[in-house]
Amino acid sequence: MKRIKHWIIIFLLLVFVTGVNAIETYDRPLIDDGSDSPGTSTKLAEDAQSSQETTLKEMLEKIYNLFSPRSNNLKPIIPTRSPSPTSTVNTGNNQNNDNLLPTGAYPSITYFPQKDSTDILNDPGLTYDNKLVADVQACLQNRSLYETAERHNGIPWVILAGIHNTEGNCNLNQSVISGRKIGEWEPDLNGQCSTQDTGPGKPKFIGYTIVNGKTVTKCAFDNPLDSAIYAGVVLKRKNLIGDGAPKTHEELVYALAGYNGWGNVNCGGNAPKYTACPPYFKGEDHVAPWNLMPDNRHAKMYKVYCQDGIPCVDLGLEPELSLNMGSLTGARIIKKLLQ
Amino acid sequence: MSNKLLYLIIASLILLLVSLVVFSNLIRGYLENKNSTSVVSPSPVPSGIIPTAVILPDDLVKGLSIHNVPTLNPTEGMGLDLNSPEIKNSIAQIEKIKDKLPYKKSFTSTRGLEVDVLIPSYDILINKWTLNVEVFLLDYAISESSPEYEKDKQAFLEAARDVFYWLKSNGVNTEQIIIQWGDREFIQTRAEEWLR
Repeated sequence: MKRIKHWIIIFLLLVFVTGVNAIETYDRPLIDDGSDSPGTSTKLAEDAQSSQETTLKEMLEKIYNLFSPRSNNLKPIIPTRSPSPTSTVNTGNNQNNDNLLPTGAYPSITYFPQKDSTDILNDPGLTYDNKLVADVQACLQNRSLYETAERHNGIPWVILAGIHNTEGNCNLNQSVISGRKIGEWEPDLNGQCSTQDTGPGKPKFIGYTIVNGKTVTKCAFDNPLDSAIYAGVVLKRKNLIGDGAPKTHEELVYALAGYNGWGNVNCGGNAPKYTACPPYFKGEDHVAPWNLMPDNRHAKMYKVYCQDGIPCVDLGLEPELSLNMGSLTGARIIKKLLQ
Repeated sequence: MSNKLLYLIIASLILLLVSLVVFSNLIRGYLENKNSTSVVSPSPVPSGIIPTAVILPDDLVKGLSIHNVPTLNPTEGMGLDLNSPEIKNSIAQIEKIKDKLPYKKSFTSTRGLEVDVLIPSYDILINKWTLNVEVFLLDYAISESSPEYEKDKQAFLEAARDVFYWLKSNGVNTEQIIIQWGDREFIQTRAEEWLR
């Protein structure tokens, strides 16, 4: 009798001690790596701790599962810092662009071939209505300004004119880069100006301001020529397919779409009423280059954003038809007027 | 077997059972507590998609913002101080990769978005102290309440991670290089927000 009592007490004590020990071990801090710097641990120590934690955790889970009436217990998830897998289409850099286009989402570039290798506007001979033609007359009057800019940045002047038309109706009081008033702060310039850095196409310092508690340098253009030179260089930075100034129609369209920002493509659910999907190539469904083009795909395109940063769908509105002439549309009309 | 012994055995078994239940609850509480502190909380995602948080390694410094560059003392001029160590260091870092530009990559993000990455040629960078990094095909103006928001954010972070690894593999100190994400304010702002 006495012996049985002893065995029962010993058994209970054993259960208690094992439990306490398991919890204490589970919560043990990182293994010291022996380095002088406090709070650090070597990779080895981290691995050892990780392995120990995993083993103990599995053990505790098994014990818990043994006695838990519920089967849907929570399993701890260890966050991982290793990169998640990404399916890479092209890992190349420099000139290896063979597989950049087309992709699965883009049927084939042969649907929209460039007929003349020297004509990156690739106008198929469209007829433009008088209203559109009238709207670009101001651009023609600024021709010498755009031509001067072309000499600096290598972008054909008709394209610079097309961009200026989209951004600021070719008004010389408005910058080519964004259509903001000349002399006014251009937040897009990201504070990249200094009185130590001057020259053609360089923005000018106009002051400081505080944004979210930080001092921000305000930059602007004090003349339309500098803004045109700058805009052309920005366009060159958007040419993923080629390098620098676009040399093909596709390069141009891609760069013009990137110039505006890729949020305004009309396919992919952005503008449900736009029906010419999928695009023939990247940017072929973008409102900024293409809008009002009198063909069967781009004559009616939609503004994805009804206000800055607010998509129309977020306001409970259908994307509106855009009335702003696309930069490619403007450039094509200007070129046609010259012929 | 006497009654006394039987009672003792029953009492011991009850005690054992109670101990096990208490112990079991103790472990459960501990595991749940550990769970709530260690799991990266996923942001809302569209239904049917398993959230996968993109974590940029802590030691991968996410570039220097131009807003961290000192400005000139009014007696010397206005705007950025181009003689500051921040500018000089960044110029030195960009020099290391100038012959390897442009850098281009196209991939499909883990949530299925197509992404194009471009670091343009050296001669068309905005200036010699700023590395322009363009991550195309994403919607930077997207609202946080949009079901597509997390897709765009994650795709951007995957692209950024690729860029940082490429820079590091080319010996660039990412603590010292000034990076500008895109040329529009809303892109720069959203990109920096996503990288924080």
